[in-house]
Amino acid sequence: MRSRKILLLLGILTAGAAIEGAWHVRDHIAFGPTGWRVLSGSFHGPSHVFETSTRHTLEPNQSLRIENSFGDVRVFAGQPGEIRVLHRKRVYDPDKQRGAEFAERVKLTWNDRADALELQTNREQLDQEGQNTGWASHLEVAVPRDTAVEIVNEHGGVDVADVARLSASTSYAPLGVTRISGAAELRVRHGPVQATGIHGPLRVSARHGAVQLEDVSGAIDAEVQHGGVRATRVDTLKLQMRDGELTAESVAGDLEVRGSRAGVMARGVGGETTIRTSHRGVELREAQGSAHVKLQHGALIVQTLRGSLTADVSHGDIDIEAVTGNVSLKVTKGAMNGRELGAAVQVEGTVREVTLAAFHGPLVLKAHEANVELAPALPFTQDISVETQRGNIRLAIPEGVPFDVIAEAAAGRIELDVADEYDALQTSKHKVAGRVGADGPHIRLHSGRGDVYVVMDGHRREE
Amino acid sequence: MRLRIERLVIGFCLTALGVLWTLANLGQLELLTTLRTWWPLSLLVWGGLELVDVLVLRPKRGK
Repeated sequence: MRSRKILLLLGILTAGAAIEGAWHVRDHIAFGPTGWRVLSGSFHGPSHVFETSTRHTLEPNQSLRIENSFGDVRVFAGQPGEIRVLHRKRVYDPDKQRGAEFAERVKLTWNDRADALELQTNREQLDQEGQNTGWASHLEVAVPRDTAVEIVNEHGGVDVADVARLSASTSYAPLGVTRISGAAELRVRHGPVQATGIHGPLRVSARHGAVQLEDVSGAIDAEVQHGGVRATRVDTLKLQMRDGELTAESVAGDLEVRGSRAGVMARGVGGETTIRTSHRGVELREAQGSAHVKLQHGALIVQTLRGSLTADVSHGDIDIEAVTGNVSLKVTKGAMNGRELGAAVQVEGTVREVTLAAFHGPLVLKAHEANVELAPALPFTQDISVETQRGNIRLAIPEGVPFDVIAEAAAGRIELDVADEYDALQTSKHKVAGRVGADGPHIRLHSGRGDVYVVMDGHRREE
Repeated sequence: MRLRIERLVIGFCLTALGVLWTLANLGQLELLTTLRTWWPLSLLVWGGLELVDVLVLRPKRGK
């Protein structure tokens, strides 16, 4: 191998290693402007904690806005009409005396407006003064239960419980919310979100973190990138998602997911389900309404759906079971397997293989190159029309049922293993037409280059 | 003219990097995520060009 090839190979691999390394270490290592080590968005090193507490009156028509950075904010229910704040100042200085002197300079400031009370630290002022000490400000705030709260935080966790309404944002730390009696809006970058007991509409925007939502009685509108979502006992869920998995259980209303590289596993959806995603699988179980799925490069599994199913799936297999409503599928380069389908079934596309058992409604199947295996349910009254260009067709008919059949195999053979009372109307090498009994369903089977088999299923017999 | 595969690979990599970086600056994609997903493509392109060279171009040159 020539030297320049070796050099180029080393260059590409080094660049790749650098990219992979940057991918793995980002969000975890940085160096703060203060010179103190900052890991995962928080200071590390020898430190001392200094506490102060303060209180402020809150008028009934006022909301509370808290602005903080490099520290946690915890808000919980307190006494009516007043705000109480415990301010824990952690100063990153090995010398306690020097730390105490610095902590004296760290203050909380209040801005009392007509509609809102604003609380923040004087970090900006200290930064402008050019101080070079790392410090974190943790706030524990007791508020009246009926307060609307807004929290803007950076590099610090947020934990809120028992307030009327909430708007909260933070980064590089978790955000936890419990028992909000009204609307909530949550925004997080590089941190997980947990929201429980939200009794109003909920908006969530999260990047690079897992999202967990429980017992939300308002509509959820969420946008999540690079993190999984778990939603349990929620009302309606509308989710935009990139690079993650949704696990949804007990969604009372509609479920709508639009994503890329987003997987979906939903159980117990009470309303309509609409999913559009790619590169991951979709599983839908025990759903009450209709389902509409567009999926690229992923497998679709549907089990126990009381409404209709419309799906457009490419480069992935479909497996459906116990669907009560109509089924309409467009399949591109995948296999399809279905059982216990209660109404009409329509399948078309370049499907590779189709196996359908115990289907009750009429079937229309147009497949480019599929091998098709069919076993209709009893009572056998459903019309069947199958057209495939390159595959074999095998239809198993229950014994003792009437039917009309036209079977065509343009370049293959036709085999009919049917009852003695079969009445042949036309028999040639490539086309067979006939009937058993009268007033039976119409069966039309056409294969371009494959064989067609119609056989009696001795295990099933219509009484 | 003899094919300089290494130059083609470097050209491909630089062009791809420039396009991706521009799209990232326009806010159309996230650069690190995209690079992390697609950088092995440079090895595939290079390997493909080497195969074309060995299987197609060299026998033709031999004639």
